[in-house]
Amino acid sequence: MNLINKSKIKKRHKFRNIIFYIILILLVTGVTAPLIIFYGPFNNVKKIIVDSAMTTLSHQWIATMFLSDAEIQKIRDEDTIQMMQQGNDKLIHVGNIHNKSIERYDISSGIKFSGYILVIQDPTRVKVGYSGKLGTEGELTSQIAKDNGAIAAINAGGFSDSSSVNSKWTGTGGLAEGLIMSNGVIKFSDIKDPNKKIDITAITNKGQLLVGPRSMNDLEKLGATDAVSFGPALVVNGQGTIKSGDGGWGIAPRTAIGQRNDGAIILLVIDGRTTQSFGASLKDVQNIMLQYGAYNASNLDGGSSATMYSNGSIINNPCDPLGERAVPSAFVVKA
Amino acid sequence: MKVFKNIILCIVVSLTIQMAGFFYVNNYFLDLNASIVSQKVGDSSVNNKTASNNETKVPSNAKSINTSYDASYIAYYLGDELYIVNTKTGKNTNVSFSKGVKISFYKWLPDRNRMLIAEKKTDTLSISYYDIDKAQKDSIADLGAFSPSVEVKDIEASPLTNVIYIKVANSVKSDAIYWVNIMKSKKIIPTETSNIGKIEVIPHEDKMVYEDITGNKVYVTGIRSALSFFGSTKTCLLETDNNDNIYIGNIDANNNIDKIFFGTLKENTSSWKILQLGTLVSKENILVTASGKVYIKDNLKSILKEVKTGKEIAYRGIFLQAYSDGIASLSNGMFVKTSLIRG
Repeated sequence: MNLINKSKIKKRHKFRNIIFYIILILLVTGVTAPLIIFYGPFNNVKKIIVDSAMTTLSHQWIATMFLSDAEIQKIRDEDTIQMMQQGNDKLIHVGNIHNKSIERYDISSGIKFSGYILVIQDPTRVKVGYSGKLGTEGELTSQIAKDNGAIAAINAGGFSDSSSVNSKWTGTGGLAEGLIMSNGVIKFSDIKDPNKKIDITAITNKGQLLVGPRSMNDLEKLGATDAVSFGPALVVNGQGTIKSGDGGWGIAPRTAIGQRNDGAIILLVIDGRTTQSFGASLKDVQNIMLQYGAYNASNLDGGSSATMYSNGSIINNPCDPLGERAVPSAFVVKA
Repeated sequence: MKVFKNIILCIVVSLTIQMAGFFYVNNYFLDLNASIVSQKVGDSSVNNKTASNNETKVPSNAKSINTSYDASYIAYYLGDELYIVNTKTGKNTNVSFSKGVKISFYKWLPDRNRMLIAEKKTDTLSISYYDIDKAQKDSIADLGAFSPSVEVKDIEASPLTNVIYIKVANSVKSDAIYWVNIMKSKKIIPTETSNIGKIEVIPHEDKMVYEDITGNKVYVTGIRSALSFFGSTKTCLLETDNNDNIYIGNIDANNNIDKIFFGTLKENTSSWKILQLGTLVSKENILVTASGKVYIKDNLKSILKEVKTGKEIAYRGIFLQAYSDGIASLSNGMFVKTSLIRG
């Protein structure tokens, strides 16, 4: 009897000890992990945490608790997106393309992200579509596509993400920001100064893709018919604009548009914020665009808005729990 | 001494795991020049969709029958299982759940073929979505642990603001409203009563309208006082429409409705419009569509009558519900759609 009891007690002690050590390991990890992240040798990890914390409003303390403002600024400055001008004389020449085909590619980086690419041979088929209820509500990218008789579309410009006072993240997609021009007509603009340059993604009447900082006067001079204000430009005249770092926007779902030297338009959407696909940095998007031969490319509104429509259905997986989100504008491919 | 050794060992184990983990994330996951694998899916301009027209049968023991926003799908319970049927092709899908999970509630979204499902596992409630077009199911948020009698009684969501309101109720009329947003963060919304009836969301604003059953009043979240109307003491909530109009029924002494007040929160309730029904109608027989048309249902004659125009639309069999542009009904176990536009 005595022996059995003793072994039972011993077992119980052993069990208790294991629990104690597991808790200890967790405690040690909890204390040392921030120290290793912020003071250790893993620069990419440090950067992604600092970038992600500083691009939110309420979680900046994660970075400011450990690092001085100067150190944070230094990390943030590591990302240089060079302001490159596309120029007016270096624009590509688009010949008469009567190729109606659209190629689709499903891409994957392994576990970090997966995405979708559509290559449209004839750039003159690509236009900007917009919500019929601008000011009140956005429309689904798929709805904008259907309204325009389009066979493919991606979301385009940004919007104010609030619907009621003190209510963030509840934007209805109707309060557009910047510029929306469709078929030569300005549908929305809050740009006061026609000479002020802001990041623009536009298509001219010759089928050329304009990216990077442009003024309203520039757009008129170059014959832009369809435009939204969004950026940054990721590829300009064959060169990547992100010279160092990952772009500084963290990893998230992304939408982007690019154009090859032969005129073909590249539409890209990368899924994010799910366990199947975490998301991509701006640098990742730039790399993909260069890999697919983009001569010019620009980032568009990503996050929960990132949506790609093709052939009657949404082909990516928008991360919003309610599904595809209402947006103010989209790039559509006319049938 | 042995304890000391073990503590050192723990620290070493912790540091090793972290170092290995951070090394992987730093050098592979966050690699700035990660390689991309791509697969050509082919020419996506070729449309190879086929449509066939089958009649959809609904089993006689089906419960909680609801159609999706455009009635292209119909969902129901058979026993403890949830089925979704494509009303065009007749294809039947049994939504699968992990072991031990029971469905507490489901609700179709107002503008797409996706539903929100409240799941119950022992004592925890959680919300997930199921997208029938993509055949994809994923969790959204855990509401927490509750006593076994607690169930989700209603879900209202606005795909414009991406806000979800969930009514959680136990058997003793103690209701709570949970709020979940696009970032999947959740909170409990304070309400003026714990005996909540119907709830409706305002599509363009982060606000919910709800009924106080005890006091026969209608409230809006964030506003302490009830919506009040001159000469009216008892009211009930009928619906909200796509243009943020709220439809409130005026209840008479016999619990019937004689008129409807409607308007948006941007205007004072004293300037809301009044729609006289011309007859006394019970709440269940009033129907307000998303576009703001008000109908009175006559079950005996199997007709809907539009209040404003007096136009009558006949449907076949037992009324199920109205969808975006029609009426869904069951006739001899078959699912029937009747257009509201052409009728």
